[in-house]
Amino acid sequence: MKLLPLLLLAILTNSIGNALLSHGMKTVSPVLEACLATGNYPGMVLPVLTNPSFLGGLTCLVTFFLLFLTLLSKADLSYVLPVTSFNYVITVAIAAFMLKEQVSPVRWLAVLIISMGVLLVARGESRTVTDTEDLPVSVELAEEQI
Amino acid sequence: MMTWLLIGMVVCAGSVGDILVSRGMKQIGEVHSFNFWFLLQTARKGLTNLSLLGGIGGMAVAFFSLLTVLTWAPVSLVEPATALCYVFNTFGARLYLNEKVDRMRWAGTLLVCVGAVLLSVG
Repeated sequence: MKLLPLLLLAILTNSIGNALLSHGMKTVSPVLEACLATGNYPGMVLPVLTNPSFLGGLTCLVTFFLLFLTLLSKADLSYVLPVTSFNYVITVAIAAFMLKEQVSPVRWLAVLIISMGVLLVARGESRTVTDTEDLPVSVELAEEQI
Repeated sequence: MMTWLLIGMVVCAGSVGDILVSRGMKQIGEVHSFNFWFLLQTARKGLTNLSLLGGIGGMAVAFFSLLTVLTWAPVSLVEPATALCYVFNTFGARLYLNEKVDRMRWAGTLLVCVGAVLLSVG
C-alpha cells in the first residue's frame, strides 16, 4: 500500500479516536463520579467498557498505533511524526464544526502554523536512503560472498 | 520540582520510545502487504524484537508519567511542554537512526512544535 493513503488513514483514526474517547468519557463521567463518591470502584469498569463511544475510540486508537508501526517500517521517524500531527487540525475541525465547540483565534492560528509545518515536511523525501539500500539485492549478496 | 521531573520523563521516555520503535520496525522490514499470513509473520518478528519491545515500554512509561502529572499539574502547562517531543525525536532520528534531516524538515518540525504549544495555551 502507498504511503499517502496510510498517512491519511492514520491521521483520521487518531482524530476520530480522540474525539470518540473524549465523548465517551464525558458521557460516563456522572456514573463514574457517583461510583467514586460511594466507594464502588469495581462498578466503574462496566459503564466504561459498555460505552459505544469509548469502545469505538479505543478501536480507532489501536488501529492508529498499528498504522503508525506500519508507517515507521516504510518511512523516517522524522517524517512520520510531524506529518501525522495533522490530526491536531482535524481534531480542531471536528470540535468546531461537529461538536460546535468555541475555538479561539489563537487556536486557529495554531492550526495554520501546524498545517504549514506539515506541508514543509511532507514535500520532502519520506525515507533516508542508505548506501546499502542503493545497491541491488544481487550486489549485496555478492558482497556478502566476498 | 516533581512536576518538571515527570514532564522530563514524558518527553524523554516518549522520544526514546518512538526512536526505538522506529529502529525495531526498520529491523523487522517493510510491511508491504496486508495478507493475513504476512502480518502474522511480522507480528511474530515484532514480539521477539528487543528494540520494538523496549520502544513500546518507553511509550508506556511516558503515558503513565503523563497520567500521573496530569492529576495535579494543569494541562496548559503539561501539553505545551510535551510538544518538545517533536524536536527531541528529530534530534534522535538524526543522531541515532542516521536519518537525513534537511533544513525544510527542521523548519516544518519546529512549526509543528510551535503550533502544538499555541494550540494547548490558546
